[in-house]
Formats: sequence, C-alpha cells, structure tokens
Amino acid sequence: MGRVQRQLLPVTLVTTLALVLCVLNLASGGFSAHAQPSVPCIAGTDTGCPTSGNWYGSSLDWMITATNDWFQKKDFWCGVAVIQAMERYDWLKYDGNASPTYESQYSLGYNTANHDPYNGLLNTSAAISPWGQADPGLNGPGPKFVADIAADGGLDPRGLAWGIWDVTPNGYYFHNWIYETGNTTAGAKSATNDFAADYGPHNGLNDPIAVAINTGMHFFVIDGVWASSDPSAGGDTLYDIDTWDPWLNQAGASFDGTYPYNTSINEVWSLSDWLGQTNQGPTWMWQNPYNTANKYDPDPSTGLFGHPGSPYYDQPLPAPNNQTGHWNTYWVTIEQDEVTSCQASPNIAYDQNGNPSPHNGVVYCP
Amino acid sequence: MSRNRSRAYSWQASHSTRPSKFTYATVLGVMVLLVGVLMWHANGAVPATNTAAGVATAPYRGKPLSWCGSVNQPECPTVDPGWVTLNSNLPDAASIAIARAREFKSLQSRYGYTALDLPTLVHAFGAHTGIGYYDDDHWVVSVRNASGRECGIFDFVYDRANHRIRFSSFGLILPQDPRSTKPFPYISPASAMAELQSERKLAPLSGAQPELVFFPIDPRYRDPSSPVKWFGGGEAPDDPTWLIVGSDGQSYFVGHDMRVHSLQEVPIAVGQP
Repeated sequence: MGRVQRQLLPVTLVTTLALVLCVLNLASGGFSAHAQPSVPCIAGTDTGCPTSGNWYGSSLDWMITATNDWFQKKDFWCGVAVIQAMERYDWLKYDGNASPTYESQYSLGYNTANHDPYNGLLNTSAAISPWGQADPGLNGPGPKFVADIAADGGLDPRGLAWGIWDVTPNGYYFHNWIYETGNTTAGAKSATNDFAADYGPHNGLNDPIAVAINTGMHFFVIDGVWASSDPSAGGDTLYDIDTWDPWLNQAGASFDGTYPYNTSINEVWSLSDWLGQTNQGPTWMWQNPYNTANKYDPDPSTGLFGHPGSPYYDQPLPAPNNQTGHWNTYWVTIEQDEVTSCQASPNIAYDQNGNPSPHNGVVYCP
Repeated sequence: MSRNRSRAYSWQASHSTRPSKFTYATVLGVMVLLVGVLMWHANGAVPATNTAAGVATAPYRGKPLSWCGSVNQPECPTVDPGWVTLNSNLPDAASIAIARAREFKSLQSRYGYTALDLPTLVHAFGAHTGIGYYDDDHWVVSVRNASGRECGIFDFVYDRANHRIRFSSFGLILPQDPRSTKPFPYISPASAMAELQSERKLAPLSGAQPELVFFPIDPRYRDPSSPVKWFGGGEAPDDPTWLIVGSDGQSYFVGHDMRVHSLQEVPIAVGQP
C-alpha cells in the first residue's frame, strides 16, 4: 500500500462514518427532536432547565364537554361513565355534536335484575358476547352486566370495548389491548409507551382511551401525554400522563363523598408517580397490573361450551406466549385503533405486538 | 494510569500494522453496504418494526405501539423526576422553585394559569413506607388565571434531605368548583380549631400550631363497594387534613368533612399502602 493509499484509508473511514451518522439522523427525525439540555435545572437560573416537552393528545374543551355529566352514578359504574364520556367526545370530533341522542349513564347501565326501571344498552341481548355471558359468581361478585364475559364486580374490559364501539360513530374501532410486558416498572413503562403512542400528529388518533388502574378496580380516561417528541412516531421520552377520573364531577365532588383516587376530575400525573416506581410515587395507578386476586376483576368465565378457538376461550394459555391468564398480571386498556379486518370486532383483544391475545393461531371472526 | 497507557500503546501498535489491499477493500465494501442499507431504511423501504434493526420508530399494528421495552426493542428512557433545587423552607423560595420546574412551564399553555398563590407545606403523617411520595412532605400551591380565578392546583414532593422538589401532579379546577374562588388551603386553621372547640370542647395545646398533613390511606378504602368510607380528607397532599394537638394532649384531625376525628379513627395504611 502506497503513501496516498494509507492516507486515503482514514479519510474514507471518517467520510463514511459521517455519512452513516447523517443517514441515521435523518432516519430518526433529526438531532434537534431529541436534544435535551445536559445540565441539571438549578434554582436561580432559568437557562439550562429542561421542559417536560409538549402536549400530545385530545382537546381540553371537548373533554370538558364530554365529562359534564360525570361523576359515575353508582359505585360499580366507572366503566359506564367512561363509555358515556368517550361517546360524547368522539361524536363531537366526528360531526361537531350533530349526533344521535347521547346515551346517559342510566340508558347504558340500568339493569332490571338490580330493580332498575329498564335494561340499559349494556344489559340488552345485543351486548352479549358471541360466546355468551359470564358464569355468575365464578371467581368474582358479578357479572354486573350482560356485556361482561367475566364475573366482574363492574363492567369488564370486553364489556367496555363493546360498549364504546357500539355508541361511537361508524368507522371508530375500539379494542381491548392487553400489554403482556411484565409485572415490573419496566413492563409498566413499556405499556405506558404503548398507549402513549396513540397521541401525536404522525400516526396518532388523538382520542381519549380507557385505562384500568389499581389492579383493575377502577378505570381512568386518558386523553394525552407530555413528551419530548411525537409519541406516535417513537423515540420520545414521556414526562406526564393526563388522567380523567369518573369518580369525580366538574365541581370537584365525588359520587359518595370519598376521594380514593384523583382529587380533581382532570389530573396530570408525573410519569414517576403514574408508574409508582419503588421509592417514588403512589401505589394505586400503574404500580401493579390487573390482578384477579383483588376479588373484583376475575378473568373471563365464558365460552366453556361456546366457540373453541375464540381468543377468550383459550385462557389460560401456556403457549405460545406463556400466558397464565387473560387479563391477570397484564396492563389493560381499551383504545381506539384502525384494525378493520375480520378481527375488527370489539370482541377481539390485542397484545403489545398487535396480535390477538391470548392467541393460539386460531382467531374467531364473527 | 498504567492500564490506560497500556491500552494506548496497544492501539498504536496495532495501528502501525499496515493493512493489506484485501483488508482495505473489505472495509470499504462493508461501509458502502452499510450506508446503502441505512439509506434504504431511511427512505421508508423497510416498515417500522420492533425488530433488532434498532431504529427507534413506533411500530404500527392497527395503531402505533411502543418503540421501546419489548423484545428486540431498546430500553425505554429512564424516568427523570425533574428535581429542582430548593435551598429554603420558606414559601417564597418554594414559589421560585415551582415556577422553574419543567411542568410548570409545559402545562401552562394547556391550562392557562398566569400566577401562583403562596405555596403551603403539607406534612407526611405516620408514613414509613419507604416510598418518597408518602414519606416526604409536599409543597402544594393553587394557581390563578388571567381573571384572577383559581384554575388549578400543583403538588410537588419535597425531598428535604436533599434540598429539592419534584412535580407530582396538577389538578384542573373548573369555575363550578368551590376551590375556584379561594387559594389553597381551603379550610383555615381558625375554622379547624373552632370545630375542635365546638365538637370536643377543646382548645389547641398551648404553643402547638395546627399542621396540614396527609397519609397513605388503607387500601381497603379504595374498594369501590367498600362498606367503610372515609370522608375526612388527608388521603392526598392536595386534600389534606388539619392536625391539631388538643389541650388534652391528644391528636385530632379536621378535614373537608369539617368533623373532628381522633387518631384512632384515621384510616392510615399499615405497612405499604
């Protein structure tokens, strides 16, 4: 190798590396999108203090309109109140309020079996799953609605997904997403990123979603996040989660005078507190996943003689994902999506990879 | 020192070895191939997936999904609590620190507050959970909009030992909320002491000042259908209860139900809440 060649080798390497970095930068949307000051925020100076990024999510005005009939009207109606709010929000978005008559919580949740004057939507035959109703009293105090597939103490995730889908405009699809990412802070964080990706201009639908908290004993509506960059594009750092608590109304009152969760109807939580990390935040949001041992939120109990191969039938499944339950130990949400194939039915749940969950290769399509 | 020097020597030694033409051609070929693959990827020829390709984009499976934390994905970013230094226990110092916290700036455009009321210290009571949120005191402050109405309430965890605070939560206060017409705290210490006098015929212990406190509530009280309910406040720093030591030496609590409760009546979690 001659002198010129020896000098050419490092020049070629440096040029190639620079080109690689440039292409990598383009692929990730540019350096500036993820740049954060490296110096700590020191009191006494504003310079160098990081921000918690930008808002990615729903309209605050529409959320206020959508929740103006909150709080939940009965102790086990958090899911009913969630359906009501998501119906109103999505119709506002769809046609600016020129919508069919909104459902009230009563027209959704009434049950003559509970001595109510009539059966609301969630207690009509239309609400029953393709594999039937939950077996009463099996591992839980319910079912409380015919839409339930579990003996749930309230409305279970399937009932919630079906209810939201049924009352929202045509073309709005909702599914129960079950994030099997592990019962750890890292698993909760990954699942939080899964639902946070619903927000942002790149690919987000930017509508409110329902999220099970406190091991499944309560549902919040989440309508967005604060993040370093567009969560729907990826590569972002999450800072804060925006929650709406159906336990409360817009006057700050609760339906029974207690405040077990939020103290305001709309409360922004730091990611640290949302995750309830060890030595950090509260224990009742996403420190712990869905837990059938809480006595109110059992796994499904339908389909024993129904449709073999249906996702809910096949629990618990040891393979292929080593599931030990359907919702138990996982992070549970009901989110709007664009799954429009034969699997668009709200009766199908999905996992963190977008696969029917739990699945064994056979998917029931009604 | 010697190890570093040894490494440097080793690198120089290997660097001085002249590469063969074959090595030169191989390195160049690999680089060209790598650039080609990356350009193809950047142009969108490869859909975003959660494979080991390493590009941090959100995979789309009917909806965007997490770009991190699952199999073959990078780890999600470490949660940064966003600590802000606080060198004094005075409310004015807390005001300055809160106004410089990242969330105070970021949430402002959505919620429209323009001014802070005076921050109030809320003490952790009876908590030995090992969880900072429950064991540390909190600074709580209401905020006002341009028309002077209270429109929100901030809660910051106060790590006294390390002279710093971090954002915990922000609650929206709408005009129909009674909290929209007054700053935090919503019950005055005089009202709490008057209730103690009225209900228990007790004055505060001489020299003892009422304190705002919160505690980790017994989780059984979070059960939606629980037959036992707690209406006395104190379950969150922004819904605290007044702790007053009575002239009989006992601790009494007055919260948003405006009733006097003894220590035995307060549902403090045993162990971790």
